[in-house]
Amino acid sequence: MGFTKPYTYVNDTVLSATDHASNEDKLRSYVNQEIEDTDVDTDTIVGESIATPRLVSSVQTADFVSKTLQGVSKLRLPQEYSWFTSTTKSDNQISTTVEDYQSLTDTGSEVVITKNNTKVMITFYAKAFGQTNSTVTRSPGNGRWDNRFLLIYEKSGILTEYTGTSTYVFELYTGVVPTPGAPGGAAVDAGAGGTAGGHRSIMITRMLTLDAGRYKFSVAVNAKVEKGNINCQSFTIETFHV
Amino acid sequence: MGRISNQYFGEGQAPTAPQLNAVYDSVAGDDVEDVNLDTEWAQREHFSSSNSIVNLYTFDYDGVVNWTTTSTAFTTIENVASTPSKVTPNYSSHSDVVIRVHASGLVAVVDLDTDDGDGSLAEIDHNTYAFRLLMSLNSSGTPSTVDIANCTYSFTPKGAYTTEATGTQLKINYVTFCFSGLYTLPAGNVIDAIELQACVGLTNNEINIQHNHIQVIIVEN
Repeated sequence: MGFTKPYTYVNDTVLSATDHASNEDKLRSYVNQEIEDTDVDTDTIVGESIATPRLVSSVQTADFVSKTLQGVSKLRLPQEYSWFTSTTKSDNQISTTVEDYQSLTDTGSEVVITKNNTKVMITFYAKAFGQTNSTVTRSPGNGRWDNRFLLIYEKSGILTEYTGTSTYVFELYTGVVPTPGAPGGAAVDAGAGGTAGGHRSIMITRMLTLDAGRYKFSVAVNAKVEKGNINCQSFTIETFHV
Repeated sequence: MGRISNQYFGEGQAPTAPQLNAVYDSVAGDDVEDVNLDTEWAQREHFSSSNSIVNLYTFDYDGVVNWTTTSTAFTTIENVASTPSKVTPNYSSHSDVVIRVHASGLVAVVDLDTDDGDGSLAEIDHNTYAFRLLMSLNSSGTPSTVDIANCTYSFTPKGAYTTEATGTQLKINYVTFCFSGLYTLPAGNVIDAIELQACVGLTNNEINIQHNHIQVIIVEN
């Protein structure tokens, strides 16, 4: 867009301070290429107008104008398992009533929300493996072999669990020999253990509306096996700002 | 950037109109580009807090009531009567829109009518069940639907298409499902609803869905 001065000087006409200032202002704005109302109205804002993200690798955060992205994504890295175990529950290991949710390594992030009613999107993907218990094995039955994973957060010392995010991996039990083709054959489920029950892809997606505060998100497990492994491939929290 | 001529006036000198006009006229004939010189000027505070670029919608059923289907026709999941797994954005697109969708949930106990088939192409449906996110559009008064994302799972550890011809009933229960998708939509459409649907490949095979979730993110400038 070309420059058009707001006021044209005319000989023998008294120059008002306002007219002169309008020319000066317009020229300054034009030459400095400042943002004017018309720029916005005519959609002349271009990509480089918007601030680039701040990347804070120490806390795994990318802060865009539109949103903040936190968490880990290791989809292209070799598998790197961390452990979960139920030894902390002692002889309550396979209890169906005693719960001991332990946060898992690399499956979480701390989020600071500055405005009430801010929406966040959480995605989680991991490969989990429940090993065969050394002493107490599958015989106790239903509900004693499910390692249950949940999305949780801690805010001001209080834990909030999202039971609607439950996902499972079971004790790896190789004692079941399925009968091919036989109706009513073995099922690989929470109660029965079984080969494929010990290896699971576990996924969580959740959109939450949060009030201002500091939230420590993680995925936790109520383990019922002595040894288990989890490889968190991706855990991201997107906080939407605009 | 072009150079701008300037005027220098002595003390007490009355400038003429041409002298005053000259500076501005020289700019008018210059070639300053119509772009903003400053980069990265737009910070978060410059964006409207009431007219968002991003619109977000979610549905959550967090309970343990089973929704059962044995049908090969996609049906909307409905664990609670009259509360289907569905979001209703009622969003009108003003320009090109990017729609991002996610869905996840828990498949509880499954059942096979006979077994998982012989692994051939013809019997893939014996060992499959599927999910999709179906978007309903109302554009210019002509309703239409879009399969915006979908995924398929198997009932048993055996592949749906495999050289293992012996059927099995070794069903995998308590499996998490999760899928996502992107879709671009032009201006002039109304996104009425996006719903989560499921079906089985073979009639009388059975799946039971417990908790399930939809997330929809609509981005428009």
